[in-house]
Amino acid sequence: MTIPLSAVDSHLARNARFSSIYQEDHPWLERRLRDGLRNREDAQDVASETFTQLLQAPALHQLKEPRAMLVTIARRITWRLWRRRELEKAWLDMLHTLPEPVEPSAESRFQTLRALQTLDAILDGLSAKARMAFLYSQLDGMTHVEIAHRLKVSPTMVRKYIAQALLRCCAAFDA
Amino acid sequence: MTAAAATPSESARLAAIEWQLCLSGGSATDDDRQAFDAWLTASPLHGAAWQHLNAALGNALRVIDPKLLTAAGPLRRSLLRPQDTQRRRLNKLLLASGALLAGGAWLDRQIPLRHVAADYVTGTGQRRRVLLPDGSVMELDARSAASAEFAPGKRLVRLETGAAVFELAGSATALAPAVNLPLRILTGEGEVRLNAGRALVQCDAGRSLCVALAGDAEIITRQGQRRRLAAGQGAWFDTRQVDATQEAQAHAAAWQEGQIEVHNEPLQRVVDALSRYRPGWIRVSPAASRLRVSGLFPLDDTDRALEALRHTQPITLRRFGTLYVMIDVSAPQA
Repeated sequence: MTIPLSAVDSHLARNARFSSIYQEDHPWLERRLRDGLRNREDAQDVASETFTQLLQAPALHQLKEPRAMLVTIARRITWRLWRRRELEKAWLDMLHTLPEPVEPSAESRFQTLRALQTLDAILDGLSAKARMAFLYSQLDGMTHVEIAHRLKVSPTMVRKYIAQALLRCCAAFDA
Repeated sequence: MTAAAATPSESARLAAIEWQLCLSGGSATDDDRQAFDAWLTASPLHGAAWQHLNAALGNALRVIDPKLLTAAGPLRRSLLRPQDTQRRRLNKLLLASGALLAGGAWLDRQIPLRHVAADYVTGTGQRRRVLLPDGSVMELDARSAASAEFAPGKRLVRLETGAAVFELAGSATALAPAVNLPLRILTGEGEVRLNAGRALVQCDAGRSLCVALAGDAEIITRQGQRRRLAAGQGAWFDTRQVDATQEAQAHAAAWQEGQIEVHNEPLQRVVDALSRYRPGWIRVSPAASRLRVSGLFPLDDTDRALEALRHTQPITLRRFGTLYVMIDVSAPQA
């Protein structure tokens, strides 16, 4: 079986483009991340994850402004990193308030963090009131009327909020 | 994958959500519960959809010990806290020295972090103004997506879905070295070229619309047919040809003001626009979709718009919970 020449060409073009971006912009990105994050290890991690994701970009060999692309990807990765740490810290803080504090196992740490990130992604697309309505309903078992009273909106609105959240739950589960 | 875990049909999913809302809302009656049982057993698809919804909820909530998510605890606060401060900090990160990005697009404070690269996406009920790298402004209608490609010799926006109004920067700036190139807006059917002024571009299934709002706009179909539009004129086009030019079409951009204005157009047009602003579904029977409608309807309050339609058209609205509305023609009076 022969591989079409055009496919080989575009593969080579991609690789060549990636190498040139890596050589020109990796030191630059890492330096800027070090300045911004004030943490050498984080900067290295974010920079290398950024290039890993760049490698998966579809039209890499046609990319005109690699630095703009790099910054967008790096920001997204940084955002996830910060958010994950924040949630982890809040979770550990919460563990310590329990009557009998527990030290979570690595396994439970991993699973809880993953679940928290899923929940965070679902809530992230919702308004502040919709987030509250959803959690009041699902975690505290409040009725729509009680939630409506608490949030000073109509029960119909509460229903809408929760419906939005449920749709997002399904979408997150399908993804 | 088992049948129960398979993605259910959209209608079964929405029905399951309605039942979840009904049963957990606190005012379900015995009749409701009986009706729910009947629904659940009426079809294996219903059972599967119900199970899928509950699995999705479990996936989001049940792994975490509920004791840790109490209303006043730090974990709940962290999940609920508006994330704007962090977002601002993040936007400042890597922009500090400024020299880097010629693109004003990156100044946009709300780059959706969920979408990679230069993609601008709006959700249901959202409109959004984006500053493009050349200083032009793109305003996206709800449920729209576009990406921008700017480089020396290249001034391009791909409108992937939905609609947008483009307003070109008044004069050349340092940000716009390529300003004597027209701004090209690509859709699935062809492209629109703008040299100045303001124009609306909209994607529909298999065809696109361009309306020149101020200044000229030029349509070029994929197969090369061209048409120049003067301010106020609009025309639909597909990959082959441009339809007849229509006069006084500026109202097509009324969504910028949160309204839809139609002049003797199919009801389906209005419903399509409302759907962009409303979670869930609006179904229109084929007979009703052919009704012609004129008027001005609010987009930001779709319930009011639907009521207005019901008052002015020979239609009935049937609501099933909050998520779907069915529109049909009224039965003829005996």
